[in-house]
Amino acid sequence: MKLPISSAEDRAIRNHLFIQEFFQKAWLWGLLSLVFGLVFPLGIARTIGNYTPAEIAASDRIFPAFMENQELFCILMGGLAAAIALVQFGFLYKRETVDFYFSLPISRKSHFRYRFFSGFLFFAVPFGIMYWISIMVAVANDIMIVSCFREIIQILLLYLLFFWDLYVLSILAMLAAGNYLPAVVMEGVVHLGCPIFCVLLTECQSSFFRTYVNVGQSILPGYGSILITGKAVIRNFHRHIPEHRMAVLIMLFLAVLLPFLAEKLFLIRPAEKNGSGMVWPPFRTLIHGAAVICGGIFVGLVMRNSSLSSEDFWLYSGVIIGCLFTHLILQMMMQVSFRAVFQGGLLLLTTTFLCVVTVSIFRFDLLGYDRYIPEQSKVESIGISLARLDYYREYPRDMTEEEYEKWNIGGINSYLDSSSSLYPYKELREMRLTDMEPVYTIINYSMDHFEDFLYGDSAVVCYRLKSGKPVYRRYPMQGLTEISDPEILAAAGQIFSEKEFKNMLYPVLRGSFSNKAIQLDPYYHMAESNRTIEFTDSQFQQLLNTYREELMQLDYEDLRTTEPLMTIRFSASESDYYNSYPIYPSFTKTIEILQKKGADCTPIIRKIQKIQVQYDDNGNYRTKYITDAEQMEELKRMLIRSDYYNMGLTLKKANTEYLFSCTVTNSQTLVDVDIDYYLPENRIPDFCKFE
Amino acid sequence: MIEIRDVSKQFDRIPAVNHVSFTVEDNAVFGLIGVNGAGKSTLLRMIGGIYKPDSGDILMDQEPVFDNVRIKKDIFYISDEQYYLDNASLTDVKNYYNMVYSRFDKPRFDSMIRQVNLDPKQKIHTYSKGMRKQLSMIAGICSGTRYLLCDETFDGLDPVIRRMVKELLRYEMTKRKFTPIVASHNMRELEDICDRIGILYRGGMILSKDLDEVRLRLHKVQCVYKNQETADTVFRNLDIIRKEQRGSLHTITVRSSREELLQKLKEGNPVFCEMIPLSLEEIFINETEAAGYEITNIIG
Repeated sequence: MKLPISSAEDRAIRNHLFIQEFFQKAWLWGLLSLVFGLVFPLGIARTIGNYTPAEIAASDRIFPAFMENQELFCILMGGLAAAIALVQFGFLYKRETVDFYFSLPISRKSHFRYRFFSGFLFFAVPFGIMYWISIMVAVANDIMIVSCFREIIQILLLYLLFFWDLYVLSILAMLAAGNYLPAVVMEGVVHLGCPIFCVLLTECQSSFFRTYVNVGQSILPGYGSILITGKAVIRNFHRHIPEHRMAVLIMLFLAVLLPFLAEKLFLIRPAEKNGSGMVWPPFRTLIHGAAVICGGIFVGLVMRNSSLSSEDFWLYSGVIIGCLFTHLILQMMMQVSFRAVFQGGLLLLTTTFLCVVTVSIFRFDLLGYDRYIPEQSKVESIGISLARLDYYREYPRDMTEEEYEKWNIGGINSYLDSSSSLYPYKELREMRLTDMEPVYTIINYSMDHFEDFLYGDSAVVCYRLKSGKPVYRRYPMQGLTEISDPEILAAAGQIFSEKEFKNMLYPVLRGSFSNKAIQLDPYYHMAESNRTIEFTDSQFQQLLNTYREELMQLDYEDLRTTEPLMTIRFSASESDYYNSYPIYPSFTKTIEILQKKGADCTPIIRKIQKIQVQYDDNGNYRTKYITDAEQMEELKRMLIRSDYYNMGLTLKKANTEYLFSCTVTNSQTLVDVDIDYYLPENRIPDFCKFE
Repeated sequence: MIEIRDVSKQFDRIPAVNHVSFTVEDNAVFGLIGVNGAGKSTLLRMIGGIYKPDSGDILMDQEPVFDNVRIKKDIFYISDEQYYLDNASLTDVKNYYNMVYSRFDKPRFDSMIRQVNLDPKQKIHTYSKGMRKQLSMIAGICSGTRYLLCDETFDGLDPVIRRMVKELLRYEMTKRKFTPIVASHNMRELEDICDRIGILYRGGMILSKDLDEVRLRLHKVQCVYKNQETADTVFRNLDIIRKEQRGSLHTITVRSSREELLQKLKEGNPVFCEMIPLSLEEIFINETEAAGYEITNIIG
């Protein structure tokens, strides 16, 4: 028999109850007003005290007081959403309140709606009032920029949208639970479940694969949790990150969908489930199972990483202990009974088994998903960056503003893993080396010889699989100056000879450069005054083309056996970025062009007048001077510039224990300049040594 | 009229109400009796539209009760544990019910409150259990609903108030269309008020009849015959539900009409014969035994 729909009288009662809720819970209004008053107007007062007017005027586009403590406030909003949901829908957990309210001649739908909307207004009204009071205070103190008024409104709406989503999620959690304790657990699952699970997946992969991009990040956990997404969106609102627009759309979609879902659940929720653990048993099983698996993985990883040997024994022992412990705790909380602790044996066994399987999948890569070294047959092309041959990647050159923002904040994924901020730079991602043999030679060498990342040296590889998926890896690797293995050196040489590789290493080989005054050598090493040369456009183009040609012909053997005479600076057309590029003795045509323009291309080393030797004797620095002319000449024939060595412009092997500080006098300004050098490995003359 | 048609309800696979069918006629006090755990409260909650039956129908005026706003306006439910709004006073309660029940009689509510000496300014959370029940009953009567569902309501009331409530219920029934449904395990309380009874046991309805009709067909007699053989001969012709003997005094409970019973008893020329009124409790015990449930199993 079809039930009558809600009548006008029912709606009238609903409206009366809606109003009655406000007066009944006036204490909630007062409390929230106090909280928001502390956050916003006081936040402005702190801003006035902490910043000068000039600093405020020169600050970011958005009013700074609304940025202070934003992240904390977002977290607070999660708590408020849960608390208000508990206040409004906690009546479902007591039999006497269920009897009272559900016996009244009010439809269930009306019950839900008046409680839902009154709960939302408990937050929205005091929040909105305090927010506007803050704006008026800001205007009165002349610290609000009129142009950001629109953004302030947008942030207000964003806050409300964020709270709405959190509030509805909290209600959903409450509807699934039958008591306060399981409700709190459900709230935690709803708000934090996804990021926690993704953190665990990330840690699994970090522990076993040490990859950049992994499952935990690739499923965009920020979108899986409104708490994390909303926080990130509000915090970075002023940066206008495109992905965040998508996040806001998703939040809007959920804002429309979730209340309907919540209302439906409210209507079908059995009234007699007050006092029980979870309302729907399959739901309980699902949550319980997921929580036990998370707990098992967490304890397993902790024990593995804490143990001295990192053996699998600790991993699997931890998994079993974690599953058992989590199961016992959940049984007690969900079923609200201590006796239930020892029940659910089948569920425990099943989830423990699943947990072990999950961990094993990562540990042994059972699915072959994320091999540390992808199979060569599946790889289409490779990009590689080697230590000592990656100087130019330090700066985010040629990135769009959006790419820079992503690189700078590590992208949406950065909150999960700080190492993910090593977002593979553009050149590496675009490199397409098709001769993969030398790359695999180097990688296998690193796997055989190195366990840990040595002093930060590594080889970074970007595999582009035939499936189209890019996979990033980082392998421990010594700097090329430290390696003597001829096979590895040959492999590195092969890689260096690839045009693709050189294009990555030297940005000067691509892109456009402007005809700004050319500078030779970093300024602080200038020994001669005439280091800035001006070219006509055609001359500049000729110089650039010649340099590119000779740089492309640069041999790996040249890198290992020679060092630059000097460096030349080229400036990118669309920005003020510049780089100093090496000029090797083999760059005869380039040198000729420079000399024709009056540049002194004489190696500075010939002009050294004084040499100081500094030796690091276990932290105790000892120095002495070399004054003998013959000794100085002997040294000059061997010295390697330390800055060129550190920049990877030369791959000569150097002994870095001894530092030679050489003085060169500027003939025009008569200013002395010190330039640091090393000597080649194992070639320290006796007269340089200390007793 | 409320019709309960083959209604069942279970909690975690334990049947609380098991295929129960009966009818609540208008303008008659219906007593729902049964021991603890019989399913009275569950049944009452389903009638009040709080719980949804797992199967079957509960109809009032041919319309289902659950989530039916129009029908529920004629039902007032009083739970065994009363709840009132947080920090509410009598005035708050009065205004609340006035908002919800369109026929709520505010002047009468004030009058009745005065009669039972409840302080209108006092907060309800300071009331005793008995005072709360009084308030519930008054609110229920003043709500103007056709049906008043009372779950263990008489427990906790002092004798004076209890009597007053019973009289009030009777008075309401004479004044308008009003049907109280009272659930209780205290059969002595229901005895003098119920017109119709429904006996619940372990979720099932054993009996649903007018009380007078039950009493017409069930009698308790004490008699003495000259000898045991005569007594046995007489008793053989009777539908005896229960029999006790102390010496030569026989106490029997018989299902029969009064006239027929007396006639059969006289055939044996009893030395002594007297009809004793049956209490509701005795009716309950006899009927449950007749249904196959030994009293020793029930009371333990």
